[in-house]
Amino acid sequence: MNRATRYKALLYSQLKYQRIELTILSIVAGGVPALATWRALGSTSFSPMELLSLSQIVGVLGSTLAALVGCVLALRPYSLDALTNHTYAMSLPVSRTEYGLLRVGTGLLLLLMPAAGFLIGAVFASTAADIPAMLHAYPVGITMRFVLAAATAFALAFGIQYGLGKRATRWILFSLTGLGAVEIIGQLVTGVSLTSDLWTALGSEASPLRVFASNWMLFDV
Amino acid sequence: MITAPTAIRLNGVDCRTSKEFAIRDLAMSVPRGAVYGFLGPNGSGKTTAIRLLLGMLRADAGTIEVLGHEISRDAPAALAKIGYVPERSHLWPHLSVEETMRFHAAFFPRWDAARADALRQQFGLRPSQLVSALSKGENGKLMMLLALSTQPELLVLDEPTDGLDPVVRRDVLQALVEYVGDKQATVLISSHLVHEQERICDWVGVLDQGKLIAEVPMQEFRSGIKRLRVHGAPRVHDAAPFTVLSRDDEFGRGETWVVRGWQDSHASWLTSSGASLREVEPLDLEESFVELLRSGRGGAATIER
Amino acid sequence: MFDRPRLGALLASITLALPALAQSSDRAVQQRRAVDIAARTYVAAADAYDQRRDARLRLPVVRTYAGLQVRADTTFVQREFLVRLDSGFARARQEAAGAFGVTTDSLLAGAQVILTQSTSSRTRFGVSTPSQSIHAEGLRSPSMAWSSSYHNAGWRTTEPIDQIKSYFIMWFEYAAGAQLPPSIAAWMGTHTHVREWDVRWREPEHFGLVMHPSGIGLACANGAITACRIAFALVPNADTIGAWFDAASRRARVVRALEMRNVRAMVLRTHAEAADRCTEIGEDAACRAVLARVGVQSPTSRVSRQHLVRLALQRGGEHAFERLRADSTDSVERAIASAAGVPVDSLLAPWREMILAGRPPSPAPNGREVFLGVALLGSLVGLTVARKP
Repeated sequence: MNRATRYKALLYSQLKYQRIELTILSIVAGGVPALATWRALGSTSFSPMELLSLSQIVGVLGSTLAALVGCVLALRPYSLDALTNHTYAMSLPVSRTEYGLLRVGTGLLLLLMPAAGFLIGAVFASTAADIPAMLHAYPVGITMRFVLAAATAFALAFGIQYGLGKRATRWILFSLTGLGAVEIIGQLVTGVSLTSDLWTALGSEASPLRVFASNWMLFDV
Repeated sequence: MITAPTAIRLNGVDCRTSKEFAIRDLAMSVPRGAVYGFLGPNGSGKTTAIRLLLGMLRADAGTIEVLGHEISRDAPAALAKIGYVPERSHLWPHLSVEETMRFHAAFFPRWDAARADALRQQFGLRPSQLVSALSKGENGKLMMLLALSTQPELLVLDEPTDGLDPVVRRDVLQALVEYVGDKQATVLISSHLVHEQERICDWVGVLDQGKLIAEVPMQEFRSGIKRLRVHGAPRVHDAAPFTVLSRDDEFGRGETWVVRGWQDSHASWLTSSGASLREVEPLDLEESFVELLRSGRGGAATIER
Repeated sequence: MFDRPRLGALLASITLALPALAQSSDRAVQQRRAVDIAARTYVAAADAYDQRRDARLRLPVVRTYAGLQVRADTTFVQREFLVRLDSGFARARQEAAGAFGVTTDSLLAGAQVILTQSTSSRTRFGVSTPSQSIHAEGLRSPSMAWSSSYHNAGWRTTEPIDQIKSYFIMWFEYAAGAQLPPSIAAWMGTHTHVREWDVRWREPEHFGLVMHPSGIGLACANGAITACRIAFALVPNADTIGAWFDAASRRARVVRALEMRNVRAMVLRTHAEAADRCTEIGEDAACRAVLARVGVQSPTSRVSRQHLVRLALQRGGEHAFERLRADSTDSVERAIASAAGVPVDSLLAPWREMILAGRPPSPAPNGREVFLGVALLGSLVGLTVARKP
């Protein structure tokens, strides 16, 4: 009974558990680039600027969808385990570490389903749209970003939920309250936003969250 | 790996699960091959103790060995040899019976597919039926099926028949007895249904308020606790060769003592203390259990004259 | 207080908010958003930025000190103060002299005037005097220097020597720009560049070039050097509208411009008849007149042009700036060629390479993003799965 067999079993279970939401997410992921460029499809007179604007919509929707995919894949299996107070998972003859890694492995693999949907939609949009000469299409590049962003969201949600367990709510509320208090005090006392540096840091080049920002253009110059 | 003659050994185990409840200095020992009845009222800590010995909870102090494995270090190896049936269904509702069996088989190295199929047919479970659609009885059967099909050396059953109708209960217990007879497995069966335990257990441990207050062979438990009617009972019984669990005044007609570890020869101690023994009455398991709990909680009226 | 589904929803909401937060704080995204506004406001913004910077340099004038005397390279008298500049100044001078390829006396004079006039500028350099120390402990964040939030930068730091050099070079660039002949100044503004063009700022230039509706810029980017010459409008007073658009495109541009309500109102006030003739019967002269009124965006911005001149100064070596300054012809092309010592076409190729480097990369995550993502995943998962029950 090797690890691959256990992985397949857990993968099948998770796939069956999340098949509906994964299907919906995959369809939506495919639809985002296709719908955004729908107006441009087959048209010969649209403006390149219009196409770029639509491309930006794809970017915003794409990064949000990637975050949603990561959260769904990390949190829903946890809720399944939590249904039985983790009894079934813990009665299995595998270490916590192995079970956690199996969950990460299945989550990351299933993440490729919406990513495949996104790729199909992006390729469809890129080939169907009449792209002007000054623009290039990046269906594969943007899909790679989608995968990394979804994996980042997955890591965050997984880390918070599995790492803190029941304490997660307390910690999140405590952190949010703390941040809010710092911001309010800063504004009242100094008139300066004390948390703006935090947001700047989160979006900086040294931050893993950078992947949600920056370049999400399906079409670009 | 520690070679031990016992299937389960807990020593000095402490575990606080909430502000109100803690397991304190728990020590118990389940011999290999025994059917060990784990008795205790609701909320006594049976499930907590079981979660501890399965490695689902971490003890604050003490050591836990199961089938020769120290559970804090080597829980997976022990769990591979344990069949566990929890109090409430722990199975994933989205899987069917067959998928649940396949999933279980992937994790348990000694999975016996033939036994699993036989039990499924015996229990009348349909392979395509979703776990979420199973009745309570069917759920209990499926959990027992899974536990027995892993060919466990140790079965840990937490209230396995609680809430089941008599027919299902009989089916489940029959399957259990057949397996134990076949494989000589150790069974730890937790229940508050004392009569059920009396029929199948050969060891009994009584847990109350997080403490083990008795752990004896069933025969000794059954025969060792007696109700005595005593006239002219001594004020103090410290030197008695048996344990007095309770003393009740009979309103001038003597006293009723409930004692543990009684032997017929102990009557001479009473006589030498100036008392006369009028009657020795055996208690059934349930009465014994209640008297043990009373004495454990200090509820027995110990009359000091 | 919260059951698990609610916790999940809370976590999901927070994580979902991350992209929006990240995007809202990301300069590259904002830059991209700003750039795709049809009117290409970045050019106007760049001009406004330059003007604001000029104003910052000149506004805080205390007074003009007549008694300015240069004693030595790093010391001069300013009324009762003996101002001594630190070693950064001397190094900056050397660097600027090397970059311009000229003796820097005239540039130095210009820079000193700016320094003298600006109180805030003096404090920038750790200028110390025998009698009084002016912010000797350091400076506010230099990156905030020209923004409105300057006063909110509530920390002080010691200015790195490279930053001091950078400021001086910038001033030299301004001082040099003020000495340019009128034809060049009209073409590229009164600012020169001697420093490398930050690749981040080349992105909007590349965007403006390839997206120019004439197609000239795209042809230039694709390697047609002739197109680059047209895009740069190197010949003064040339018919740029005629060069950038053919008749049909001119008419199309007018039609498109008139679709914008404010532009239509402006045109109709003075050129209503021309607008009608252009749109209805396609009269080219009318279209030209309307376009002249509306204005046509150049495929190359002033900054682009300034960097073309930078390439010329680099190529021309010693006295290149003096040759540029001395040119009395009206031809920008000739002046640049004279400074560079080579035909302008030889400069357009490296300029094009420079611009192409500003093309935005593929959205595929770069190595650092992949590393950070994998590191985050590894560390969070590692910490999580190693957790004891």
